[in-house]
Amino acid sequence: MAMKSEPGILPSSFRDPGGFLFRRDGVLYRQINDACREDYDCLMQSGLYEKLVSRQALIPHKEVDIPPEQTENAYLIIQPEEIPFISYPYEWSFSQLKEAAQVTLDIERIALEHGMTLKDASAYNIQFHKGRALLIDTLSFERYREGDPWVAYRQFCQHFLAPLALMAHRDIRLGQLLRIYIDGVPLDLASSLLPGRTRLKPGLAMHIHMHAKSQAKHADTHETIERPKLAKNALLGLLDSLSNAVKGLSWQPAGTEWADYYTETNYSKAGLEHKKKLVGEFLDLARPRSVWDLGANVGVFSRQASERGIPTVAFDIDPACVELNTLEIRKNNEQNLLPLMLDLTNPSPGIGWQNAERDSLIGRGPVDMVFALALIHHLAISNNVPFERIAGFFAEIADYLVIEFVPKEDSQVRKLLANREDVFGDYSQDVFEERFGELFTIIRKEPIQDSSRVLYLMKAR
Amino acid sequence: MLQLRHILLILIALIVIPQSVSAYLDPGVGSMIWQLLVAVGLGLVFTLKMYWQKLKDRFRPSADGHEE
Repeated sequence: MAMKSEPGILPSSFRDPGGFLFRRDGVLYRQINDACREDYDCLMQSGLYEKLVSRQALIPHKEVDIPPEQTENAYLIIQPEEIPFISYPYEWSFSQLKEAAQVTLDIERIALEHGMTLKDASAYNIQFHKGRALLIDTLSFERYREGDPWVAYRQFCQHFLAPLALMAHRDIRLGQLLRIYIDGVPLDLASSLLPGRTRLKPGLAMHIHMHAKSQAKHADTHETIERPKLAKNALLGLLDSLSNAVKGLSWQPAGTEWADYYTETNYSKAGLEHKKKLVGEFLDLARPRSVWDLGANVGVFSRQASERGIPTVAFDIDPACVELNTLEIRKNNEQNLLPLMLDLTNPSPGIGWQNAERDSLIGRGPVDMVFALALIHHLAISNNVPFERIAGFFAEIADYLVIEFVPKEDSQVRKLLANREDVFGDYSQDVFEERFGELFTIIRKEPIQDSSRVLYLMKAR
Repeated sequence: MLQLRHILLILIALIVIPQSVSAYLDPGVGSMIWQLLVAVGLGLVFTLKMYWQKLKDRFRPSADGHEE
């Protein structure tokens, strides 16, 4: 059963004694405990809540009158608006992580204007909702005490600045380090991996390199140190500096084999339009409430779903595709599409405490409909996954399947087989229909115009 | 450099009031010390930047394109 819909306290919600998330009768609630009473009241009464919600920087909620999940120390229950699909920073494109970083800093700056401050700066507190990054942890705020440093500075640098710097200056793939290091990239590691020229950039020099040295130096300091007061202006200066450091990081997705995909002559213009039309027809037939487009590239077909108002996730293995899709969504202000990075042969596992803190991909399913367009040959041939296992995976995560069979005569498959032995005797349309037919009913089957490819609509048995 | 930082901290510590933090997150001692060191300078730069911005706005309230 999907972890996300199980009743009780969420497996990821245990660190903050101020409160926690729980699910009851399928609805998500947040319990606020006495420890957080005054901070929550301040959030609501200072105008900070209104300000942030109006900017779409904080998830809206309503206060509800239901029995608490844990009666001891309970103060109030709130019901936050739910995010249709929870995603994690190691699944985000460069620009998504950068937006999440900037939103975090903006929120802290605005919080200080209202006499409050963020007590943590975890990337897991940010989610994408209606095309924008926002804070979902309503209890992240505490009253600002004049003189206190920003307790979340370390976490911000590890969760945001370090991975962004590594992706921009070393290799885009280093974002995956966030999957291994659940509290962000250790700064000494980031410092050692970054090129030497980053020491000449003031923001990175200060907040990563020298920050890392200070951490190493004081690693054995266990006495409580007496601290000088830090003026609010100093905090604002720190935030401004971090903001500039983040702003200064950029990544240009160069033409990769995938991002060039749609400029290549894989389909004639008529063929492409026909495929789009068919996908639209299948959507109108099945009327799914949610769609996952696997191997979505830049989201051309995902948009058949999202433009029909269906919440759609566009997964792709290529960071360039996800990045381009992100920028397109931002440009058009699209609200129903979420692009994410995913390697289908090694999808996000469950990580964190008890392997349950951050959900696996499958755990965040099932979904009404999956698109597997121009995908089957990459799984069956490039990755040697037999048809029945591919079918088994799709049947586990979806009710409806829109899948494109790409035959061996197709130019793309010929490319894949160009320099390797063809051990794929079973790779044929007949065997494909037979194996998938064991787990799915084939509802529609349409050859694509000007192409040897065939589009299917299937329903899990 | 290391010694100077130590001396600086001790001097500052002599006139300090101890603060406590109630947030659950471990800020990290090294991070906290570094923040205290670096934020003072950044605050100064920021204050100057804000004054400069205000000055510019007073003489050129609309968006400018030419040099002084």
